[in-house]
Amino acid sequence: MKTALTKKEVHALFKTVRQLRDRGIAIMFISHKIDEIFEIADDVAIMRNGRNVYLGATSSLTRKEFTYYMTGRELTDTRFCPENVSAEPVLEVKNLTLAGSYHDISFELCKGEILGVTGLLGSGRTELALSLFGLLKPDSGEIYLKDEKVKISSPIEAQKLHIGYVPEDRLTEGLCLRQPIADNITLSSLKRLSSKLGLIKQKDILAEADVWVKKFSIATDDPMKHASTLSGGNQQKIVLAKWLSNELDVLILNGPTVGVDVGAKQDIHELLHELARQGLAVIIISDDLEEVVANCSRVIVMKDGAIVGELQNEDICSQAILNIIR
Amino acid sequence: MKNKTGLKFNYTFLLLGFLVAILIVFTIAKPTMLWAPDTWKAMAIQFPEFGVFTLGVMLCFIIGCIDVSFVALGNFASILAALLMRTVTDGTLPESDTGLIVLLAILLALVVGGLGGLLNGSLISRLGIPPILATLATQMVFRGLSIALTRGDAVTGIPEIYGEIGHIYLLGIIPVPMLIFLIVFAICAFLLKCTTYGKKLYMIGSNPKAARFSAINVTRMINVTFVINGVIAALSALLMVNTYNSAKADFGSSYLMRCILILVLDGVLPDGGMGKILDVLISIVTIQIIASCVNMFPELNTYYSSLISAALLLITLMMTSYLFNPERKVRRAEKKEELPKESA
Amino acid sequence: MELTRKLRRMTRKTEFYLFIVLVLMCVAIQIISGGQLLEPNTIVDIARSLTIFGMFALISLVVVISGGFDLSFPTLASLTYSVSTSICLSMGWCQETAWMAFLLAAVIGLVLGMLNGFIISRFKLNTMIVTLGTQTLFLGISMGLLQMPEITSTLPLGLRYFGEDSLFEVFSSTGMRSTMPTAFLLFVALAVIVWFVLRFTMFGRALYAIGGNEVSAERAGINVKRTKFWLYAFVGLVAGIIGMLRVCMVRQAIPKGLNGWDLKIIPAVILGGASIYGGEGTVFGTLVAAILMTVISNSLLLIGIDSYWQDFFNGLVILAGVTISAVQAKRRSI
Repeated sequence: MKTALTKKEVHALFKTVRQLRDRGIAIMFISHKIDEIFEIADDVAIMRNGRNVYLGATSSLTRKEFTYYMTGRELTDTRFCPENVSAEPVLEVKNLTLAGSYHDISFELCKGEILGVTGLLGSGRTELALSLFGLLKPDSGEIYLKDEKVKISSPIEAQKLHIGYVPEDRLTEGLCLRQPIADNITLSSLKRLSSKLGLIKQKDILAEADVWVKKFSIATDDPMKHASTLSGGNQQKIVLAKWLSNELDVLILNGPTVGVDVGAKQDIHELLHELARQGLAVIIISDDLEEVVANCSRVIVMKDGAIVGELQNEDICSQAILNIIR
Repeated sequence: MKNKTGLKFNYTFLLLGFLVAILIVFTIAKPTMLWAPDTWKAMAIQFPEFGVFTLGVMLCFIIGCIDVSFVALGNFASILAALLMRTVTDGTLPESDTGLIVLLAILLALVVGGLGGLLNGSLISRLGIPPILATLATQMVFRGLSIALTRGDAVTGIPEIYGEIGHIYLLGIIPVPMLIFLIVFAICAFLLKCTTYGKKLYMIGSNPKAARFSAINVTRMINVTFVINGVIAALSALLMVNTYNSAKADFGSSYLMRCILILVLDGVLPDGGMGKILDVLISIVTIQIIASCVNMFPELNTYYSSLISAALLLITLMMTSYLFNPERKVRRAEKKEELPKESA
Repeated sequence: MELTRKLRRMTRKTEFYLFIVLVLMCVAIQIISGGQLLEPNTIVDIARSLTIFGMFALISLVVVISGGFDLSFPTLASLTYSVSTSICLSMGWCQETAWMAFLLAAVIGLVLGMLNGFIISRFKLNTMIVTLGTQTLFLGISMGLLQMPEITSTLPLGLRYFGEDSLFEVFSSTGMRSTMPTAFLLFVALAVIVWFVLRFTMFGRALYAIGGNEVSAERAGINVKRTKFWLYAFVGLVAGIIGMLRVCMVRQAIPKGLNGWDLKIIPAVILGGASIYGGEGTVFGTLVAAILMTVISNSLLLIGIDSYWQDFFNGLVILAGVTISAVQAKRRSI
């Protein structure tokens, strides 16, 4: 619920919540964001798999214990270190402009890099992503893929150009909830799995789905179950699998771990590191600064539709990003 | 395991149950008439008329688009065909050309059906008009054209050969209309189960936005589906021409509701993404049996079959809604939690 | 200035453009037909056609605003008036006035509407499909179960008198006589009532809310079930009365008399600016759309078009209308 608020709004909300508490009103605050819980909650009840696994004051709980109770695993923070970054950029964007959304956007992206795009809500990040994926036509500017100028006019074109997009809202934009998991995973690779005449065998679909279920440790016993039966994190994994089922040069992810539990979040981040190491160029759009700092080798900060700052490697930290935004 | 109708139990069994129940009821009432071979022969000729329509519309429903124009489109196509065929019988063209003209007329009807379907599809996919409105409008247009061309009268003068072909019995027992239905059924079943077209159909119906985001050509899929529906509708109307030996603007007026009723009855809701073709087949047969059985009772007129069908539909809707009610599932889960505590 | 701001807001609405179209169309027809449109005869004839069409459009508007579709009102109305008229006939009522018939129609319509309301509100089902079912159900009951006869010459006199009751008469230059039916006042009254309910009552606001987002409406404290139930119940009641009104005006009670009206009325309501997803729509827009369609239907003869082309032209108008509103909606969302 609170994932749609900016930092300013979150602060305002917390202020109000504290005021209500001081007035004697009991408040139940539901969230899976560690920072928020530690900031606002006096006591915390942690639930996992329908059971209450911890009940007590937040003051006597460490972050590591919190993560352990939430996921049942010990998790370690790994920061992304780029390897095998190509010398030539695979994606070049020059002076891309869309009136009312973003203007004069220019950047390069090399293979093996994870580029973070961050900024406040309304900074044009999502519109930029949609333009790179063919859903929003820019007014002017140029896009080059592997040194060739391209016009990305639709998602179908984008797929042909080996660009994939994991959308912001997986429920409305990423998944067909009432269809089987296997069908969701194979949706973008039907051409590859079918014969010339368009014939497709169910066992081919199941085989492909099995590959990804195993690879991503998706928690399901039957890939023919509806996608709605999965948790947020697993759902996000299917959307990821759907695109990775294709040969990709560039993968854009918009809010990849929004509404995802800590365990799946870690899984997805590790996946992205691995993909980058294997040569994929990744763009992560996120307003979760921790995520950006831990996973990106380069960060672009956007404000009001323009790029207002860029950070590289060791310079990337939450404070630096916030400084640029303000 | 949840199947395509989204229910925890097998919906097909429910429909089969209805069918069996209907058969039992009418066997008790009119055993000799129901099981006479003539009855089934008559049914085999009648049900393809609305059965073929239903199969075409089913494709549109699965992709999430309701179509109320299919009967009007079919009639329009068949009227054009009939007008063309009349040129042989009224002397405009020599009798020797009859066979050729009949063939051309059939082809004409199918092409017109396809074009009309393309119109529907384009309005919906390119202009973004909601399907109910687009097809309501085109229905008026098609019907209006039909009435304008025929001045409300039936187009007669169909060459004899047309009726002769239509009344052939293959292998002595399968009438041509039934054969056509079986062919269309086979094609639709094949499309739905074995092709990427079928997969995309269900996915788009389930969430067109996500399909678009997954690089599926939703526009082309909608157009293709409506073209297929148009061709099938024209085919079905040609069957009606065979039955009535003429073409008229308001033939099959009860079929619009009947086909939609059948589809909804077996879970193919116009919301999209659901339905099994087997269920549709069972429902078509069920409705036909009801209609035929009602005919056996001279005291009951034909409207009784509509009444029974509608009542069946409403009961089924209420039942499946109740059984599928998510609130009820939560309450049942809570009850399960309580029981072990009590025994402890 | 306040006035310019109001004007600017007005021009952005569909209803405004629709009104312009209506005016332009009237001007065009007037010119083409050589001045026949604005003759008092024509206007009165149009008003007569408008009475029933407009009233049905108004009750459909209310349903569409709530996000639903009521496809059953034609057969609901015809079942109601058939039964009501038959009862009056057999009991010998309505020899002088029409009150009993209308009262019966109201009661029967209310009961049938409650059936709709019960099924729709209790079992969260698609309203289009449910009313499709009840539409067939009502038809099956009236033509099958009850086997309602066609009542033409035996129509109770009271109904006939009411139908002939007129406010005034006008004579055309050729001596043709057109009477303005008293029923037109009922149409005006209904329009005022609907406008008032939508604008100033909690019930009306609830309808807009439910049509906008049913879940939010429920969370905001609106009793969606109860609102929907009474909505369809009242629609049934009014539909019954309108049906009875039509019987008086055409002086016959034919069970299939209103068949196909659902498919005529809904496009008119959408043309008038209501959204099929619910939450939008005004009485003004619906009225303008109803007038537009009635004018076109009635003037085809005036401009020399064969009456056989009427349906086709109606269809074209609807097609144009839904296209424009779809394109407008697209522009608004971008």
